[in-house]
Amino acid sequence: MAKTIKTVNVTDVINVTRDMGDTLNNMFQTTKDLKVAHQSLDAYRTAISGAKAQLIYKKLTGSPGKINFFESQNP
Amino acid sequence: MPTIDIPDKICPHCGGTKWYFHGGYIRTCFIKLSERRKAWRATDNGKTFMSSYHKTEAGKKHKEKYLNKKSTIKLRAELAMKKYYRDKANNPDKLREYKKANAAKSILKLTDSVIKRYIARDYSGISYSDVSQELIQLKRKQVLLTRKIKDYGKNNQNC
Repeated sequence: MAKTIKTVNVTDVINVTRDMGDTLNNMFQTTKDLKVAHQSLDAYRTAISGAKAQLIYKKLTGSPGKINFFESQNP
Repeated sequence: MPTIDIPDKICPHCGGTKWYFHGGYIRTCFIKLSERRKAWRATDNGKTFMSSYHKTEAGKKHKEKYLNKKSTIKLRAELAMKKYYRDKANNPDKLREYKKANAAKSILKLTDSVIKRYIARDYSGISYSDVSQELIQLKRKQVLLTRKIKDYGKNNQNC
């Protein structure tokens, strides 16, 4: 039976994907299966993207309230 | 080796009263002894001995004890800074090589600054100070895993 995981916010998503990455990494250490390793990398990539998005969101909504990269583009 | 105080006998070399006592004979003062040892370490024989000594168990313990000595940490840091600025002025090529070797070491070790560089280069909006420890740990795990996959691929090329 498939396991369902419920997440409320980005922090939950980051934690869940990080845990998934860790378990798959441990599985790769024992089985040396490359598919498992690549899936672990994907899980880590998702967690990192979530953390980066959280950082940028905090910057946009916090102070100083803007990021130069988004301001400098010409219309 | 034990030392003794001979108050009525003053060392002509350093003016001190502490002598190096070995095998029933009074040999020489500590300062003269340390100078002689330092000069020997600078010779070829001394260098080969020291390089092989540091590879032994006793040598590694000795080095660890010296590196963890709190009383000399500040002094060693100051001396290192002075050496850096002296090399910068007198020998920039040597400094450049040292920096290159140091950079390669930190990339191998995956220090925090290297990981921050990997994270910040993708997004121009993120600065080094914004990156949290959790994000650094995540990225380090990812980089270590990619290295393992590459090594595994190299070792099993026929598969």
